[in-house]
Amino acid sequence: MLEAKNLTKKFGSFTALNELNLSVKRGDIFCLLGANGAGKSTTINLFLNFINPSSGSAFIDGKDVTKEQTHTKKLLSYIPENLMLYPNLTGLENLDFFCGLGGKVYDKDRLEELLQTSGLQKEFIHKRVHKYSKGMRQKVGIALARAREASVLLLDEPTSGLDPKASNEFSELLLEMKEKGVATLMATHDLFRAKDTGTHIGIMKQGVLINQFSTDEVTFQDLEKMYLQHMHN
Amino acid sequence: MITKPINLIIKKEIKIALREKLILAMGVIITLLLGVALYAGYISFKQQHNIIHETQAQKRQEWLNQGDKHPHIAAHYGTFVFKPKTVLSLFDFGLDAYTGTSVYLEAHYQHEFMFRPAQEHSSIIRFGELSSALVLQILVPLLIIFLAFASYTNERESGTLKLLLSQGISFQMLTWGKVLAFCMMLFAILLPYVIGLTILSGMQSQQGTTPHVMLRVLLIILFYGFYLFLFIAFSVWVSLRATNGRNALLTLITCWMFFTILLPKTVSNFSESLYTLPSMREFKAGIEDEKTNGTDGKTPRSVRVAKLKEEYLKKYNVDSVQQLPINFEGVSMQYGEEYANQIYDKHMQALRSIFHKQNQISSITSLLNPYIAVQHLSMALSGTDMYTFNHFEDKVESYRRELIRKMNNDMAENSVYGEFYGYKAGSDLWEEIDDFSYQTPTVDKILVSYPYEITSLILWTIIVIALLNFTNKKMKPLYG
Amino acid sequence: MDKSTKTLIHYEWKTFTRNKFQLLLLAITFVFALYAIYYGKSEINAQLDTIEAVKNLEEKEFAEYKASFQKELVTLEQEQTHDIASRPAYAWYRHGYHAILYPHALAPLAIGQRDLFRYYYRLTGMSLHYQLYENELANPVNLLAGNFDLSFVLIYLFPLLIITFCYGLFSSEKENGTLALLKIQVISIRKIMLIKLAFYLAIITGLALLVSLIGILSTANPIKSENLMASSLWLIGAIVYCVFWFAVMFVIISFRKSSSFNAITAAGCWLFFLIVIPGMLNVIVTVKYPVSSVTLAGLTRRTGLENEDDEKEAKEVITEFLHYKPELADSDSLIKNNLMPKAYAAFTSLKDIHNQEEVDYYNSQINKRNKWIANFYWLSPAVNMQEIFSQITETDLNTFLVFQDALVSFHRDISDFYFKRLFWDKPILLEDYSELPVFKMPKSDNRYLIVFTGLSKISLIALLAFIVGYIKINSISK
Repeated sequence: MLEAKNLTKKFGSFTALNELNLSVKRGDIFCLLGANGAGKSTTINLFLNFINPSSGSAFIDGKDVTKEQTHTKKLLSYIPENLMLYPNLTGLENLDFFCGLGGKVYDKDRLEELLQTSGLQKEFIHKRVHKYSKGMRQKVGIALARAREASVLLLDEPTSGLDPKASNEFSELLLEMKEKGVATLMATHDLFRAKDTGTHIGIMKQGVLINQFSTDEVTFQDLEKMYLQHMHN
Repeated sequence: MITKPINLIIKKEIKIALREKLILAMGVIITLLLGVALYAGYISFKQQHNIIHETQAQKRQEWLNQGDKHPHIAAHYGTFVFKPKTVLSLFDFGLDAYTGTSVYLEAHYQHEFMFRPAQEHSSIIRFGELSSALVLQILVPLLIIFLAFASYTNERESGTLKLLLSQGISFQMLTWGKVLAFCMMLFAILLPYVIGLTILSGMQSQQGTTPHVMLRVLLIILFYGFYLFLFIAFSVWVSLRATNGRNALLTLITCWMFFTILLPKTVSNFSESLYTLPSMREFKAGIEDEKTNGTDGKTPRSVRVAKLKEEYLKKYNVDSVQQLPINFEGVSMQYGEEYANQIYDKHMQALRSIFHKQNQISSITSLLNPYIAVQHLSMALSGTDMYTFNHFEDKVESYRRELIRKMNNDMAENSVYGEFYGYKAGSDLWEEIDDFSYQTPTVDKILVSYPYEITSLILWTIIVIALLNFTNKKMKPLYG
Repeated sequence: MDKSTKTLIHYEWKTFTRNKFQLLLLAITFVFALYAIYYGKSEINAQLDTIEAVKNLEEKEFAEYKASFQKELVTLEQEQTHDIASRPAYAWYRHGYHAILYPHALAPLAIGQRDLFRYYYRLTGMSLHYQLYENELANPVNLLAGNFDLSFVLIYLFPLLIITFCYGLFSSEKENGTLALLKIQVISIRKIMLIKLAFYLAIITGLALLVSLIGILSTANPIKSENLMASSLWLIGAIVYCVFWFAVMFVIISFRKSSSFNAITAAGCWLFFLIVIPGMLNVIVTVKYPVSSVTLAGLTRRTGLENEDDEKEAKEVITEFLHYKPELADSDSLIKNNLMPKAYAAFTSLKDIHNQEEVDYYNSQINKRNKWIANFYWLSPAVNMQEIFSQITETDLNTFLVFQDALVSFHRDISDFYFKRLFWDKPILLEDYSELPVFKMPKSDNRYLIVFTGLSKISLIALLAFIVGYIKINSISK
């Protein structure tokens, strides 16, 4: 579903991403690990077509994201580290708004249901977003991804700064979407979550994907050891 | 001696501002505009001054060389007075475009000033002319706002504020450091202009119409200093209180708009509706009516003259006017003149009091709006305000009265009753009339007539300083 | 309209109605506009009252003259009145006619130069220049402050409204962090911005049209054929001007800078268009074409024959005058009757003739000035708009210049009427009163041409700005 071929991004003389090759299939949750500046967010931004690649290509559903935006954009949903919404609109209205932009119109009951099943407490659904905590906003983001019936989910450190309970709920929702065949690419620092939720893990360092494997192949201790080893070299 | 941390703060602020391209561009534009305004103001002053000077001299020659004629005909031939340009009109055009420039002086009638220069322009003139005063009153405050609106919000948004305060720097020091830094930058931007203004007005100070030019320039600098400081301090204060830069900017621009564009216009329009002016026709008709029917409405001119005649006959103990040692026509002429003057004064006073009431409203509003205060003081010191114009009108009118009185007295003393064309006066009499020369009121007189405006500037300065100090003490690094 | 457009509009409306500050601004602007209409009306009504009063005076004056033909003359006063009514020697300089420049029905909306110039004159056969230069009473301070009329509200305040509504359209998405979610939508940022701009364009232009309509309906009957054109042009003008400012905002937004940058730039544009450019043009034109009225002042001097007992001088003056007006010569009694009144009439007419050159020169200087400055109107659509509004409501400088020209020919009619009788020694008869000279204000035919050119200039600049914005907003590299 998601594929990177020799994907490279240079900012001036600095190479943020070097010859990345990567593939994420339906039902996969691919977790990118790595230090700050390793190229995780750059990878996500390239798939989002927020930035243009210097060379190589990113494909969603086999389509180049820079060439067939209209098609690829329809498929994806995105939750950044800190999802921001319109503070003066309620959670439900925000959801309705962004769905509507994508041409999807749901009735109120369905929107409420989406929000509730995404974990948002009922009493907050009709409150304005400026009263929301970060976790609540992320849940609206999940609801949005589900409402858009996205088949690709791009996540940029979505759980950083969430409390363990919220973080856990978030993982639950990811797994639920995985069951529906959504391909997820997630940049994260959270080794535990990556092992727990992810199907695949890639470790990045200085713009290079230096290692990738299935989560079934390693234990959590192995993963931690491996990660720190890579970081020290 | 300034303590060291505050020095560092000032340095940092200046550095940051200098790296902001927008601020640099604004600084350059303001300097250019000030230069253009000063130059154009100077040229325009010279042009107008020269032509007025020449024409005034030419009218004087016409008066002196009018040939031999009867004094009363000379009184009707009359002369002209032109409103001289004051030296500092090169700084602030003030009301010059809207007050009349020429007046005809003749017997029996007080003519109004003719030709408002604004009538020589299309409707674009109502947008205002670019004078140094306009730049300093409206544009420089906006530059200050752009310079200072983010002074605190940037530190807050980027988190450097917490860092600064954790170093033991107080809000008090930080705030005043910023205010001082902006004052210094502004001073640097305006210094070349101030020097230019001083030199140009110093060069022209011998023109004579305006006494104490240098003192005026000094006071202008002082008042504008107060005014611009107000904007700096207020902008920093708003930035200190605002949650983010956007809000600070929006608040400041709204205030600027309200104080410099909206309020002055609204107030003067409101005063116009509150105290309505008579039309020229009504005004003149009122005077004419009293002249014909007497101030009491039942003593027509013929009765008044008969009474005067009786008085004179009694005084000199004669039976007929022919026997009087003086020409009674001259006496009655002067009597009529003085009677008409009384009537004119009464009506003029009523009219002036309407003007005064209208203008008083904006003077009082200046207590709320320092822009109006500095606008009025600037015009006043430049000699382009209403007070100076009225003073000039009064001087012109007393010159006219003196001229007519001399003509009438000469007629009374030298001519014979009933033989109007029998007597002709000559250049001796014309020379008895001094040439008209005018000096604007002195600085102290001007300052006394603008108490609200001066109070306003002082009051606002105190308020803003107090506000800053109060907020500095109460402020916490984290907002809300 | 597709679903996403509908959603955008629907939610922009929600955001808009929830923003108390914006609603307050709209309400304040509305109130200011109503005040402006009221103020304009009260100003023009005061002028109409004055016009009514002077007309009544004139009617009364002439009614008395006419009555004196039918009444039996008993008192001395009645006899005097009849003399003035019937004898041209008295009548030519006593009969006063009012030339009135009536305000256009829409004048209260844009007072223009109407508070600065005289809109009525009382003319007699005496020297025209002597009667021409007196000003109407006015407080210079208030003249300087200018009029708070609807044109001011539209030209000065509406741009500010547009700026506050639009400066953050893009940047606030960026600063609030919602931009990322917009960017992953199929609908392009350009389209989103255009829809938002169109939304506020509809609201603000709607407000401009609403207050204009209130203004028009409360001052004039727009259905009347003479007002229809002016009213529609006013409305079109309001739309074009709003569109222009939206185009400016579009360009500024298209650079995708921060809110503060946008606000500063937009405020800077406002300042340039409304204060700096006109201010500069005004001082430049003052210095470049110095016009001085002081040279004209001398024309108002009251002079007469050197010696009113001197027949020789009187005859000379009359002869010189008849050179210009041969049709008044050849009467047998030319020199015998009413010599002095004839000489005086000739004298003041000659004065006008001799001085005309100077007056023409002065007027030509003013014309030159305005031609030059009009070349630069395109620099500031605000100035252009002010000129358009005052053209529509006939309160522009040109109207007053035409009025003054019309005064010259009206004065000629008056002089001709009396001089024909004075120099041919004919009395004024009662039936003559049915053919008294009447003032006619010529219709200017190129008025609407000026308005159309002005409007097209503004539209063109708006279009250019729109194109720049349209290209720029997509060209920013990712």
